[in-house]
Amino acid sequence: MAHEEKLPRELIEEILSRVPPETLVRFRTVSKQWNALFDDKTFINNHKMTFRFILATKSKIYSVNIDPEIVVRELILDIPGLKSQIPKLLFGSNEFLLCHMGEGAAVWNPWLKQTRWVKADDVNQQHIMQIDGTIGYDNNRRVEETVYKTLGFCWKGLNLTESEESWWKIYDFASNTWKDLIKNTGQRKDNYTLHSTNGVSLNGTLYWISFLDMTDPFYCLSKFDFSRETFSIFCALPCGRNHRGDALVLRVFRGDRFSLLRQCHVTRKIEVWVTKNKINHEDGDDVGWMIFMTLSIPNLPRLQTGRSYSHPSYFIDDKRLVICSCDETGRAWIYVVEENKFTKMQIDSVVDPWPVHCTYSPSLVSVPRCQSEEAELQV
Amino acid sequence: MSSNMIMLKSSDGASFEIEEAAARKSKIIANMIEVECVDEDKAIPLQNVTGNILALVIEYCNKHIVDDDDDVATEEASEEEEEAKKKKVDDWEAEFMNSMSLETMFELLLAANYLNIKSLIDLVCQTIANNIKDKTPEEVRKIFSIENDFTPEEEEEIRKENAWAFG
Repeated sequence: MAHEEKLPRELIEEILSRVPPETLVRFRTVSKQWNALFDDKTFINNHKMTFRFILATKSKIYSVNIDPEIVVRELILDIPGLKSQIPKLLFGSNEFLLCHMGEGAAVWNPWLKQTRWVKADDVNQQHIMQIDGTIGYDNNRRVEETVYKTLGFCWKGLNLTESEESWWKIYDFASNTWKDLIKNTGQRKDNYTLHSTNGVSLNGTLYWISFLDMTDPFYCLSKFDFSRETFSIFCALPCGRNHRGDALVLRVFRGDRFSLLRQCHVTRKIEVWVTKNKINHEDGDDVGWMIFMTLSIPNLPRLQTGRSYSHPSYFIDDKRLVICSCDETGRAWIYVVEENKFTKMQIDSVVDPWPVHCTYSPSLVSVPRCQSEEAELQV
Repeated sequence: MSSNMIMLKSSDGASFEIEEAAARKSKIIANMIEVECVDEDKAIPLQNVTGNILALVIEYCNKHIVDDDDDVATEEASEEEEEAKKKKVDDWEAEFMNSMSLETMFELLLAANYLNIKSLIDLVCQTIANNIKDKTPEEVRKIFSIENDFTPEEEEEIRKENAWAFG
């Protein structure tokens, strides 16, 4: 029997924020309003089962929510036939996580408990391949035709620095195939070095912090455009690094801009820049940076720590900066900076030291399948 | 503990006597008591709540005011005791919501929202969420009186994109 009186919208949202994510996907077809609600980041961030960071130790994977208090839950990654289900590296893309697992990568939507295995190409004696950070797509196509892609970096021999030959490959999620980029265009003609393989995906294009020489006063952003299948320098950054321990981390800011967090290893001062306008992937000359926040108080912890100087993960919502990082002994902490107030909370339920971590905001977007799987589902 | 009693009057004219401490679970009533100096002889009229729903609200508030007092009394309770107590409250809440129809839950939710009783809003929302999670989109539309504004093609497109969830 139908209700004569509907509940007000805010109460319906209260109810839906307690419905399991898998069910919400099914409820997309209830109405246009519900379908739009489930893509709304505010709704997702208020969902009772949401989280903002993912951490992986040597034996376990955790999700960490921070509002209204720290809640740590264990996550299970289940890739059939894989011996170790623990990622070596984690990269938060916009909708999915990319987990590096040695012989390949798992594309994972941990909220929907969906996975897809991307096997590295030619895992044999011929060359070594590492699937690179992030997932993008050709942004010249219509939205409905989005084909997700990612990059792999290959080199011959065991050691990359001694390798005579290295090149990139593109993986196509729809056809489940790898293809070589022509080496001339695939290898960047310039000698820019990627600061970290932890790229950022914005509207399908991938961006990395890069530099010619580590001592450059200003670093720059490189990009890879999936429609042209080329690398190029996109824009200048407002700073560089003086020390390998200086943190320098790029993130998407407010959906269509960039933010850049820097911490000086010596003074421990934290600075965050954001771009003035939204990013147009065709026009890097137009990018201007402005200071969003600076924090210089006594006893700030170092964000980039450990022998390998692991990067901090962070996100910004409204005026608040939230960072996940390991301290000098490898314990994971959450740091919150809000209006010059600095608070820190240890994630004490993550026991093993030196977890890898990344920022991840849950989404209800299904992990892209390849065409053959889709055909099976249609039958 | 104050044993002041106050009167509440439902929209259909039923009067209920309730301890002030219990009534203060409602932020709205607490506010009325603070600023408007409720006349002890006069019932507070609640225009948006019917008698049968108000009875449920009062039952909930009475139960939880006792629990809150316990908190003060057993400040140094062990973890086990805390857990046992929490389980007792959970059991009571499950029993309280059990056998309540969706119609009643909706009315109770509206009342809890109007009276601003946060913990009751949480409880009812969670119960409704559990209740609808295995329902089909069509059933959900009926429950909330939502009109399907998709064309069959649009609906099919969403089902296709998320085929695994509709399996």
